[in-house]
Amino acid sequence: MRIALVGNPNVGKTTLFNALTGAHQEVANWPGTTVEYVIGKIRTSEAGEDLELVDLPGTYALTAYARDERVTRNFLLYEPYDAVIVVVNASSLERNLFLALEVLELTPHVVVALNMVDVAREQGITVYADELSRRLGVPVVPTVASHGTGLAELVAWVRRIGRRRVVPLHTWVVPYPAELREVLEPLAAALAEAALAEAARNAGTLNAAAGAASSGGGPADRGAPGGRTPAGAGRFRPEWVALRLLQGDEEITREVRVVPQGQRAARLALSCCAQSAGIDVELGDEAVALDPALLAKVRAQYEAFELQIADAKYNHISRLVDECVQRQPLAKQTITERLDAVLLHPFWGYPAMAAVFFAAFWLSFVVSAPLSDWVSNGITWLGQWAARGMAALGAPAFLQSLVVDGVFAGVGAVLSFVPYMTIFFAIYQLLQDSGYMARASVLVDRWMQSIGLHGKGFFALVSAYGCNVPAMAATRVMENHRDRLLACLVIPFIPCNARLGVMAVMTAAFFPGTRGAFVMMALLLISAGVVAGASVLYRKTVLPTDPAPLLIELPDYHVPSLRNLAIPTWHRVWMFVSRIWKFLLWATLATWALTYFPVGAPVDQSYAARLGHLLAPVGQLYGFDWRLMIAIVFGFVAKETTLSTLGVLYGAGADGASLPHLLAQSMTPLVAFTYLVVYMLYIPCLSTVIQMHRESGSWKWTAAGMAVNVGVAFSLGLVLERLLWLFG
Amino acid sequence: MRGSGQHVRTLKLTNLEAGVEAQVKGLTGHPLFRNRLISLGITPHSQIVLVRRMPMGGPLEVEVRGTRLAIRRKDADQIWVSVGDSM
Repeated sequence: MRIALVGNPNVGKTTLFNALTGAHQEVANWPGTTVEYVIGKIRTSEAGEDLELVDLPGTYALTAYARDERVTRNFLLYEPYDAVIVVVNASSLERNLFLALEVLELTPHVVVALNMVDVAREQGITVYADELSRRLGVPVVPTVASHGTGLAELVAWVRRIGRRRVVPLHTWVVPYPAELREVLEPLAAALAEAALAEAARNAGTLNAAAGAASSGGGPADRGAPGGRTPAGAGRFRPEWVALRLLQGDEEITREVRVVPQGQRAARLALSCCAQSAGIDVELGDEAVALDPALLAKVRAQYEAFELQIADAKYNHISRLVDECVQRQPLAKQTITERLDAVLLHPFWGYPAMAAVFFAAFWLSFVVSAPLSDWVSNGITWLGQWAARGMAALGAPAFLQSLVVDGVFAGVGAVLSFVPYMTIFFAIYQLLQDSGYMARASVLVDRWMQSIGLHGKGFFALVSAYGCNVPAMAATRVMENHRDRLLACLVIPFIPCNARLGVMAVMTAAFFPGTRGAFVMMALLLISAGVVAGASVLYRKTVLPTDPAPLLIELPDYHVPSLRNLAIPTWHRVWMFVSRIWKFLLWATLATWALTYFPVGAPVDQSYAARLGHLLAPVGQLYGFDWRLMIAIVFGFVAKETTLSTLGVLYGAGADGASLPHLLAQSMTPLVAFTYLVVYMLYIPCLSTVIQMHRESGSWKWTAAGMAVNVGVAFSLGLVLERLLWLFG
Repeated sequence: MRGSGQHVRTLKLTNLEAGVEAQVKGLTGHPLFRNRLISLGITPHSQIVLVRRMPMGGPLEVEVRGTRLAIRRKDADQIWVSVGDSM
């Protein structure tokens, strides 16, 4: 049995999912999108069959406008399933029941999980689940997902509902007012007729009606499950289709028009609409399509219907809430209100946010640094053991070098990311789940907007100072594709931990003492300026829209469970490792080959050196020698390796000379500063490029973004070099 | 008329005083935006309270149908509300 799990954001849907499925989960990517959904199995000790549970993105409605909304809707429309669990928050039923009603209009195979009843009780809200169940005509099970309360009963109901033929309590689910019914009912009748005609036509080859009713796929009385009937009106409840047609749903209109009888129904919907809009022409679709004035009128009427339908739903909900919910006025403020008095305070909110983010990044940098060191040291140590073993077996020298400097170095490069990623994603999830992230977005939205970015992108941008890769993953909180793309395009200009490390070492070598601090500050200001400038320019040129409206819920604060933090963290880290390792390993092997061959040659005659000499003319413009150019090229694989590459190229350690010392001897501070600017901005590492492709979904954007990075870095470097040379 | 002592004022949500309960009168703006408002519970006739304003022209926090939402001032300009204030 396949069960879909839907609900508003912040209702504990994922907590419920985790509680039901435990560790039996896998992440799937929605075809053609970056939207992920998770599939889990409910195991029971009974002999009953396993339930497959699909956690769909949180959504407020099924209208197919927002990205997450569309994924959830498409699943409910076109994928096979046996029942839907609608999770509602018991403390805000007034809004939550809207989605529940939308789902009920689509299929009666619904079990409502009345979640967070404990929180509601604390707020003085009592919901009479039996009464609500009687009024909705589907089971309503009170649950506290975080404590596992009510889950057994929920699963039992799902099993019962999934296999049965369910008749909706009321055909229309919502008692729509008479004037709407006058339009809706003939339309639904026409659609039902179209569906029948369609079934009869299909019956020529197969007894479709019977096939549909007894099929194992989607809800039996929803018509044929996904795949059986490829299109047509008979796929969905006629009442639901009628409602959608009246609101001008283009996708459903297309779907209905596939069969001739459906075309008649679609025309009926259009003329109903035209009539209500006061257009008294006998119209075919062409007339409307051709005349913009008519089209505008019809559109306005669709919207009027939409508003009337929504209004009727909310009125129905008000009645349900009056009958099934008892509210005791609370004298004292809730915890959320008291916290928000500080955290969203017009003044104190900002220092509070700085403190929260500082703690978050301090934890991810400082705690992960020694762990990363252990991991890379461990890998190096293993590599040395492997080399000794191979030497003992008499393996040729190049093979030993391949294993140690190629394979083990590559594996080390992948794994050294893991501690940082793990801690970062856990903290990210904590801020997200606790309800704080929404507040932070609200606090900074005004500033972000002034450079064309969305408030929700702030955390991603700040976290890019840690590592660009998860920062790009963190842009997903934004619903609008352009907002996300823009954030991904500017993130590479922010120096990550690894780049900051290299910058710190070089700055210390060239600008000892207090001057070093000023130089670092100057570098960071340049980076911030480039981020702001690039963002404004992108908005003015290739992404000419304002950031999407900021319209977010500020959920009640709560402490997420360890399990709710651990599961998504694990998914994200695993996703990263499984995607990146191949690329990083090949890149490390290529780097190794370039420096190792031709066999026996000193490092300044290797293929890498020849490549460096090829690039030397470019470097000369800036005063960079071939070794610095090579470090730039190899830095693409992973910025962490820059220092060791430079070490090898400059022959550090050979006569006890340290790399900073050697660097300071080989160039002027002016050249070094230019190099630092170019190095800070030029291109993120390979992992970032791959993540960027994943987030943008397009190689074109990825390549364009990288080209801009390199272009900006080198031209800014050139300008700086000239300026510094003139004045300095 | 005078006996009721009530005046109904219609104004933009942006200009509502904090802590005053108002009723949503109408929504303007892009259809997709209005649709989003509707699914979040901001519909004509719904009761709405402005909880707080973020400083320097930042977003507004409002309470509607038992949930709290943040909305930019520019977007809140598209929502018309009415308050009956006693004179």
